[in-house]
Formats: sequence, C-alpha cells, structure tokens
Amino acid sequence: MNQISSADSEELVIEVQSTGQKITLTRSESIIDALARSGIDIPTSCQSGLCGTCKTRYISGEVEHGDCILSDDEHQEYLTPCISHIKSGTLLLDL
Amino acid sequence: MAGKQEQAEKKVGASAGTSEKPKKLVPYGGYYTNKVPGHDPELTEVGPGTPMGEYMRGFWHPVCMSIELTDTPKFLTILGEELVAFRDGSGSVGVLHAHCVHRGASLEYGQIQEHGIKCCYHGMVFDVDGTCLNAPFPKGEEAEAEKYACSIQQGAYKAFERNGLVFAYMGAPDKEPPFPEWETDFTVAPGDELVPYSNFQHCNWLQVQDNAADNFHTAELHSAKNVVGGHFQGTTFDEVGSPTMEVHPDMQFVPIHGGRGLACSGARRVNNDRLFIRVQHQVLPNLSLHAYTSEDGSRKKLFSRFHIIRWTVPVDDFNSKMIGWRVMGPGIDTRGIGKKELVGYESIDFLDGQVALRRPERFGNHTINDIVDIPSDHRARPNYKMAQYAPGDYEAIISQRPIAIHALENPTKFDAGPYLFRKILRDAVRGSNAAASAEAFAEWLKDFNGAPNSYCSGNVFELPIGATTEEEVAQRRFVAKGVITILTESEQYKGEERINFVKQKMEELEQTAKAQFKH
Repeated sequence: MNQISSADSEELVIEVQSTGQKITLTRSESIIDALARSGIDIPTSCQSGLCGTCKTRYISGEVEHGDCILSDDEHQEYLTPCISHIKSGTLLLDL
Repeated sequence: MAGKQEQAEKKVGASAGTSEKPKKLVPYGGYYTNKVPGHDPELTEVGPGTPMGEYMRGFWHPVCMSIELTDTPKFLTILGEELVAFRDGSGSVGVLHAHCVHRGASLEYGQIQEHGIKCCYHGMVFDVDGTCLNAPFPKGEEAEAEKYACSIQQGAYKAFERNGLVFAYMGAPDKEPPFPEWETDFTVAPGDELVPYSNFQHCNWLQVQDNAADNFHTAELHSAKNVVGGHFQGTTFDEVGSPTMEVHPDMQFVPIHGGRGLACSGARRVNNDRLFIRVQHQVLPNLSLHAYTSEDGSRKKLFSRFHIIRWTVPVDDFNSKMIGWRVMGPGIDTRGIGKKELVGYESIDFLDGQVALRRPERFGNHTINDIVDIPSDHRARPNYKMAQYAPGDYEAIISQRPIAIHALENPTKFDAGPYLFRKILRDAVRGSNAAASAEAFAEWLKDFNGAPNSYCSGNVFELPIGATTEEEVAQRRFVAKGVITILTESEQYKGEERINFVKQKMEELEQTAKAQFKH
C-alpha cells in the first residue's frame, strides 16, 4: 500500500474538469484537503480508503491508489481522494 | 460502490451552495436506511461450486477435535457439506459424505468397523478412502456383490490427526497441497505443547476471521468500562490483568508473502520505559497466528512466537468454528497464567465470552473432556441478560447478523486490518493476484518443503517514551514498521540462523530508535 513515489516537495496539480480550475499541492497534503481549501467539498467518512464515500471519477493522470475497496478495473477510472496520491504531474478530475 | 448518481452529486456545480445532508444522515431518519441489502457472496458463501468455497477447498482445514471421534461416528457439516468423521479399528481416520451412496441413509447411524464404516440400512461397508469393501448380497450372489461394490464409491476426503485435531483436505485429489508445517514445528519451544480447542460460532466464517485482524476492539469490548452495573464475568482484560492489551494499538498492516498473508504490527506502550510490538500474522484464507496474548511487558523480550494457531472453519454459510491450538508451557507463557483445564471443546483459557456457553454453564455439570450441547439461539440462553451486561467476542461477532452485511458498514480508519484482509482474499479468489491462487499457494508451500516462516512475534523493547506526543507517535511507527522490515529480511534464513538474525537486527533497531528520537 501507498509506496511513496513522488517526493514530498514535488509540485503536483489537480485540475477540475467542469471549471478548469487548477490546484497545486505537494504529497504532504491529501487530494481531498487540497480540494476543500479550494472550495470543493467531497464527502468523506473513514478518511483511509475503506468506505468509498469519497470515490471520485478521474479522466486522466497517474494515480497511486491507497484504498482497500476498489478493484483493479475500477482503479482505471476512479480513485479515493482521501488516501490516494498523484504520482506526478496533473490529475484531471471529473468534477 | 458509488454509482453514477453519487458521482453526479460530486459535480461541482450541482452541489455548490445548495448542499443538503444526504438522506442517510437525517436525524430520526431511520426510515431512509431501513432496507437491508444482500451480503457479499463472493467472500462469504462457501458451498460447493462457489468462488470462496472452491478457494477454501484448496487448503487443509481442521474439521473437528480428536475427542469428538468416539465409538459412534461424528456428524459434521463443513463448507456446507454433510459429513461423518470416525476413527476405525485400525486407527485410520475417515471423513466421508454423510449420506450413503447406496440410498442415502446417514452414516452417522453406521457401525465403525476394523476397516471403514458399515451403513446401518443395508450394510454396505466403506473404507476411509470411500472404497466399498463389502455389499452384503445373499449367499450365492457374491460375484454380483463384488461387481456392484466396484461400481460405487462413497465420497471421501483425505484426513489425519495431529495434536488432538482432525484435519481434512476437501479439494480435488490431484491438487492436494502440502499440510503447512509453519516454522517446521509451529514454534513450540521444548517443554511447551500444542493444546487443541474448538469454539463454535453461530455466524458466517468471515466475520469471525475479521475479528482476528480487528486489533482495536480489545480496548473497548474487553474493557471493564464496557461492563454494565458491575456485572463482571471474566470478559475483560481488566479482570485478568493483561495491561498491554487494554491499550489502543498503533497498527501497521502490511501484505506479505506475495499477498498470501497480512502482517498486523501493533505498537503499544507498556510504560515510560518499554514499548511492546505485537505482530499477528493472518494467512489466506482462514488461518491466524497470534503472539502471546497475556504480555505484561515486564521485561525485554525479542521474537517470542506463537501463542494461538487458529483456523476459522466454515460449517455452512451461517455457522463456523474457531478451531486450532493454544500453545501451553513456560516457553511462550512467561507469566505462567495459562490454564490447560480450560482449553478444549467449547472453551479456551482466554477471556470468557468466546462461545455461546459461559464457564458457569460450560463447566457446571461437565468437565473439559465432555462434548457439551451448544445452545443455538443466543437470545434463548438462560443467561442472556447477563451476557448483555458483559458481552464477549461471541456476542459481538455473531450479532453482526448471520452474515454481516458489508454494504451497510461505515468503517473507520481503525478497521483497516479486516478491510485489507478482505481485499487480499478477494484478489486471491478472483485471480487478480495469481500468486495467491490455491494452486500457486500450494507451489509456494512446496518451495519451503511445506514449512514456511511466519511473521508472528511478540517483542518488548527497552525504549523510553518520546519527549512529545509527536516524537512518541513517530517512534512507535518507526519501530512497528522496522520489525516488519526485519522479518521480511529474515525470510532468507531458517531456524536458529533466522532467530539470531532477527534478534540482532531488533537490538540494532532499538539502538537506532534510541538515537533517532528525543526522549
């Protein structure tokens, strides 16, 4: 689980599909926290990749999945932003 | 999983500004959550032909205790199959389909022979491998009898006895795996012994297995504060004095052995001077190896090994049994508090509340050597109210419904153990982790001559508490992870060489932590 690949200081980007908004973050911040500080609240519950409450569709990007509940197939299209990370570059979310 | 509608609710425009509470969060809104969806068949159903049932049949399982084999056959249900188990006059153990292949009478009413068992109805005799040894036709018709006998075969499974347990292999004969001799000798120290036990659970097997990787319930369910009105009944650690187990552990869960198992490394502070790291090893599909359950952390201890070896064996989809060995003796039980007279059929010398019968009822008119009747309805027990005052593992686990509904669960981060175990189980059953298929698991066992190493260990380090909470948290996680790393590195060694390697590395880990963190 959660093998660290991106350096903590590397600048990563979340892009919101519907608005084109771009949010920069480093690995030390969760995707869900980065979205929240930009005014986008995704509901969460377990905050550790177990319950699927925050399951979100993404369009492109390299994701390091940290959850226990999505299948390999689902990982191609969905992520749990509470615990998953961006490997590098930009993650385009279907939001 | 979330559907299209939930995804739509996450659309920025749709929810912004007008966000309403989801229905399931409405106060007094039980109406919105009163529908009970189905259970998860992929992981819970175990009958013949089901995905999990087929997977389970690729492994050896204990099916009953040796003391259950008497002068009459023992009727059993295992993996949804009705069976009889018996020891014939020659000492061979038979595990056969219960219903006679002739016309279906149950062999539990049969007569045990010198070789095999004779059906009560028409006298067909079956050997332990299912071969029909005799069909009692009238005099003069022996040739037809012989021909008939050769045309039938009673369903049979290979079985053997070991340390008071009967093990059977219920899969295809050509796929039989080695019996896993963990650590060659199950880490039994000289002078210690494996003592068998069997504890029936009136619920699906998986929630019993879930409980083994649920390291967070102990500090609540097994705590004195959970007992109502002072009605103590031996269900809490406070009553038996196992102080380290009353502390919420800081857990690290690491899939190991190519996804064939899960290491659960828990850090618990003993006092200002010592840190206890307990590593439990969960093995697919239903084995758990538990380190010393009574550790008080009173002195340094490195690489203490198995205290419980436990299989969770499905009876059918709605019943199961924890069956295995308690390790007894001064080697493992350094506090000398184990009670062998409490280990056996429907009993174990752990906290009370492990089975439907509590000790006053279990032992009121019986000894540990008796096969007692098991109450089947937990609410009809005479001591039901007492069990409500001080519930134990049995009450918590079986009351999760006959088969727990995963779709209704709201896990916290502390449920990562059971969730991760379910994930590696699903990957194994589905084939998304080929290394964990039953066939690949058998090959892996053969690579170790059937005797793999285990991560299970109890370790007390001389490590002072961190100067700040942050330091302490960082330190305990560093050590809990470090122990797993050492155990992984030690996989290349066996026996004494491995023990020495692990202990030396743990000493180094202790020194590193002492130097690295502020105390």
